[in-house]
Amino acid sequence: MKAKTFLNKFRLENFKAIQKSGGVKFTPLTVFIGNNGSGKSSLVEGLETYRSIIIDGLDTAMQRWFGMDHIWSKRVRHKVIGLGLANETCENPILFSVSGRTAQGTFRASMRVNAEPGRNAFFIQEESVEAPAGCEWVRDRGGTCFTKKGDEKEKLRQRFEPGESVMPRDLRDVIGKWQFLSLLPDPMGRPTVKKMAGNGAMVLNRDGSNLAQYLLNIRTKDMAAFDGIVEAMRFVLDYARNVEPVETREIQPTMYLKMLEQLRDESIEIPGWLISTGTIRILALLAVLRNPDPPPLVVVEEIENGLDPRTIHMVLDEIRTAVQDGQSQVILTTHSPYLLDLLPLQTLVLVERENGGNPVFWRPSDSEEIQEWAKRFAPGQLYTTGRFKREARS
Amino acid sequence: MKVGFIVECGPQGAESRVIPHLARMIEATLEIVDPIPLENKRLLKQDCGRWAKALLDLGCARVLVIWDLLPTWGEYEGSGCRHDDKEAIFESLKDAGIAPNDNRIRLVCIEKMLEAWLIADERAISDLLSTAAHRIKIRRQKSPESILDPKAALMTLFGKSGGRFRRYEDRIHAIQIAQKIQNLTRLQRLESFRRFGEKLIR
Repeated sequence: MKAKTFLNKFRLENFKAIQKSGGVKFTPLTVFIGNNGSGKSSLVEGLETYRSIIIDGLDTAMQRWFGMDHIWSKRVRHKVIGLGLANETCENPILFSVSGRTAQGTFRASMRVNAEPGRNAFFIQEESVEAPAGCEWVRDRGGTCFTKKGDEKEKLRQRFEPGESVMPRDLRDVIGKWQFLSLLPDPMGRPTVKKMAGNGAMVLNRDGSNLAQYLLNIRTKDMAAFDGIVEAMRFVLDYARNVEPVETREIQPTMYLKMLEQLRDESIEIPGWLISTGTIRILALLAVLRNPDPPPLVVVEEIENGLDPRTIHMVLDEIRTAVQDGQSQVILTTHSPYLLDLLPLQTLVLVERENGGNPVFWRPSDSEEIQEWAKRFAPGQLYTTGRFKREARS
Repeated sequence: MKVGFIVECGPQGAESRVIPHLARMIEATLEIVDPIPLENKRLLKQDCGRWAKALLDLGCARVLVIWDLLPTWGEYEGSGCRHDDKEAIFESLKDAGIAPNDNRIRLVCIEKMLEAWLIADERAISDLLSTAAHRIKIRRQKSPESILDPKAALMTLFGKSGGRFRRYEDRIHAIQIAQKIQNLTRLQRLESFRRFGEKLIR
């Protein structure tokens, strides 16, 4: 068994619905379930925001949320504390804390993000990174960074910007490959502007809007991998003959997909915006899971959307192959009892609001009572019949 | 004779196509009802009774419940226990009103999974992987049922073959291998396959 856990634990505080998540542990496959609004997405979005701060910087990461104010937990106060303008901060900053593993060894990192008293600007209040080689980076609010290795402590000459992470290059490259998806068929099918300058591994946009360029990238790197994606597609649509990324050259290069279908004796072209929503979603999932340069972490929200039972089975086979080969760790959120029935109980994490407040994350497999139920009923049945009760834990 | 199969796979999965194919190779005159794919071993053990009852009501003279000894998610579900599996299946049959000694219901546990049967015939695999210009040699496996993970072994064979087969995918390739099997001499060496044949026709 080669299954690997690249991300072991994530702790999030004061982000959207989550006040304190506690240390949420991950397995090679982790599936979050819970009612609408329970806080599943908050955790996933917190992880994605952390990645974005490291790769793109704090300003860009917050653009998605139209400013930090909107995601800063409203359940706690953010009273101004500290004396003197230079030291003033707010209470209860957002905290991101991760531990994981790379080919070089384990790493740990944490970051607090805070705002100026007037909320006019936000900044990284403190950050620390313990890299696999035993080297540690610690930065303060002023952007000064120290590295520590054993007893040696050294101040870096570089002063970091308020929203710039000190994450070392090799770890940054690994985290940059984390893949987050909540595939939206509409942007996936439409022509989108081609990204001309790449830095590092290509990542599929969260909404899948650069799918055509992503597939072109795979085809360029590894034709056999691309053919494998097309072959798997044919299992879903036996009349699909091929998929082609198409580049247009008007004012600026754009890209879209076209699918070739067999209709009697002739081949017809279906442009991306006419491909069925489920088909284009499955194409994106196959592209990510069969990428010859696989992302170490794949996070997919509501993976079952638009997929028929046969295709859900196929996607789960693909996920199992990726996980069991140790090429990717996978995190899913789902509402589908059908999908849950196909999963081992040990992979599930239930998210629920504690007395309507802070979301709590727990594993039903930790409960002896639920384990007993699971001998007779599948997880989806236990979930829909309300057997996953935290109070039932022994 | 009308025969029904209850198998452990998804819709149009490998077992639902390979098992009827092999059954027809054993006895061409069988009338085979579309197999009932019950997703995974847990659901098969849980629901096979009701489906078996429905197949008997449909006029099947035999209903074979066929499952893999190894669970799909071995890292979470262990290495499988035939005795426990059978007990759970008997329980499901009992719940559906079928007596444990009802001779029309036959249980077949594949040791360790369907791929062990496929890997037994190296000639079929070789035929599938080879091209006219390049013959792929596959070494004969003396005891495929003792391979720890036959699916992983097939993955390796496919991966090493190069060319158009990058990796083994059961939903696509299992039936393709089965269709290349010329005769059942290789498979008859496997105890679980012999059991399948006996329970199918005797």
